[in-house]
Amino acid sequence: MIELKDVYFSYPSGAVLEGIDLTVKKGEYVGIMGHNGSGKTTLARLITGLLLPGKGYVRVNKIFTTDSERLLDIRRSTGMVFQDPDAQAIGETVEEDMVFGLENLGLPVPEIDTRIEKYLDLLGIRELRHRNIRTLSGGQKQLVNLAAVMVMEPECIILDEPVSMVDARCRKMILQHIARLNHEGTAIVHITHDPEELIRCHRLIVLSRCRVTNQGTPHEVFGQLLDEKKMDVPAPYAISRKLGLSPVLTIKALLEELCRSRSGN
Amino acid sequence: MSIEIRQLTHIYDASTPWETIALDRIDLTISKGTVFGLVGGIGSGKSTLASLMAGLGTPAHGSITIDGEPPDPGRNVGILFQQPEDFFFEKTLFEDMASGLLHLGLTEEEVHKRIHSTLDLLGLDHQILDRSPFHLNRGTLRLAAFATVLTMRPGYLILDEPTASLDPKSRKRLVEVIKRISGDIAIIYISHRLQEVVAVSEYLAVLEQGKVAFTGTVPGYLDWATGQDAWEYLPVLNQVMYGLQRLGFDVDLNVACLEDAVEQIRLSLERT
Ligand SMILES: Nc1ncnc2c1ncn2[C@@H]1O[C@H](COP(=O)(O)OP(=O)(O)OP(=O)(O)O)[C@@H](O)[C@H]1O
Ligand SMILES: Nc1ncnc2c1ncn2[C@@H]1O[C@H](COP(=O)(O)OP(=O)(O)OP(=O)(O)O)[C@@H](O)[C@H]1O
Ligand SMILES: [Mg+2]
Ligand SMILES: [Mg+2]
Repeated sequence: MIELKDVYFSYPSGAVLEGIDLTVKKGEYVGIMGHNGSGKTTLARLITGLLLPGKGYVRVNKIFTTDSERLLDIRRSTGMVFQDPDAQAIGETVEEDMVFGLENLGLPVPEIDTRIEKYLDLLGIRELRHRNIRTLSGGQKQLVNLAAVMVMEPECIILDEPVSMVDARCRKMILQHIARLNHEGTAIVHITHDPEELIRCHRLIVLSRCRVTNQGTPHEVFGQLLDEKKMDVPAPYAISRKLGLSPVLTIKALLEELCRSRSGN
Repeated sequence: MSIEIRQLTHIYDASTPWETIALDRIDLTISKGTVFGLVGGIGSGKSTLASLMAGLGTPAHGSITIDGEPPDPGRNVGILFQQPEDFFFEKTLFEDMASGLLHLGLTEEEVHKRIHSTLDLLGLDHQILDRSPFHLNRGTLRLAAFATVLTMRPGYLILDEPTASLDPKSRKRLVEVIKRISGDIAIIYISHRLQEVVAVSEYLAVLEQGKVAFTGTVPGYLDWATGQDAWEYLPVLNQVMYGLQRLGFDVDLNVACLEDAVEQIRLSLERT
């Protein structure tokens, strides 16, 4: 549903992306990693049409992001959780912020209400509904931003470091919801510095020096990254590989592998 | 030489339907020469405590003193906010970094010296000084915000999520810098990255809904978390070790790093 073809992009300060080819199929879960300043946020902005490529093209459901008349269709089919939690909100209160987009979709009032309730409940933040967004804690803002995008039920959700300010329990809860949405057909583009967040993605992409340097399943890419010693990989993956076990991505799987290996002795 | 927090309570929107007791009778002592970790779930009161320690806002009840004096931002205490991007205003990063220092009454020469030496310490490219803070990628902007508080050379330094949005290399760098400077000052280190908190801190406190749920040393913390089987309070490596202990493996709970964990597991496998 998303297609980037030979995309180049530069700011006046210099080139950021050079010759990026990337497709995200309907219902696919794509993870993106890359060092600070490697162009991840720029890429996310190109996908949603907030930035336009200098060369090449970006299409969402076959619509070019340069087609200003149909930009609204693109905005409807993609929802983005911003990296800066303060950059996203339009409304004063949490409710107002969520209502705004739903009204634009033309939903009837009762449905707006039930939808908002559904997603606030889902993320466990029902009590924040009437709070002023600016007075929320960092993690609460991230949850609200997620809810505001999920409530729109877009075909594709783009997440720019969505859980950088939440605790472990909350992170686990959010990642489960993302995985479930994906299971139900929502495409996900998930940007992060934490490889542990990406163990469920179908395809993992690493950006470096303006280009895609690694691409494949999490197992493939983590394997390459570990060998290249270039970036962090999930701890269970690193431990299993260093012990010569079959590589695993979760703690649960690592413990199982170790038990197997112990009884094999 | 310490921060003394006594019976500190803070309430937002008191006597309204949104009344929030953000801090509830907190007692803590944080001594010079240590790194003090502060963890807890979202909305548990960490940033509120950080702001009050930095002298921003007045607590509803209780007191905070720094070496016996009230907190005086920029003088006896410095803070890196959780969202430092909201505190850049100038056309160039240099102007932003310099404004606080000039305000402290430093000469221009000294201001230049401090800014450049701090960028070196963090391995930041000096060219970013001429750029607009609003045109920097987020990780770099946050590192620049960290550099800005460092130039103030506070005796007590509060860091609220300093490594959020940083890539692994910058994170490592920041942790090294913290270890290097912590000998002479006190650092309060707030983070959801538990692995990092236990690696840099000597002591730590856990906030739960505005109350101190635990305070003590790092090994004490790990025992506390395992004692109540609270996996979510354990850093990943300690989760692995704890899981192995429960399966009857002979390993230590407290491991310093990944290599250490791997070595322990290897030895334990060899013994069986
Ligand atoms: N508005 C802008 N004007 C000029 N240069 C910019 C702008 N935004 C980003 N850049 C530059 O473009 C490059 C890529 O930035 P981008 O924000 O896409 O990186 P990123 O991978 O998201 O980084 P981070 O991990 O720090 O969020 C960086 O060198 C950055 O300084
Ligand atoms: N200015 C404010 N007005 C009203 N309530 C506030 C304000 N600031 C914070 N709160 C509330 O006080 C509680 C504590 O917030 P605080 O920001 O201290 O939490 P935190 O531990 O830093 O959380 P996080 O990890 O999400 O950053 C939260 O419920 C928050 O919504
Ligand atoms: Mg970014
Ligand atoms: Mg906070």
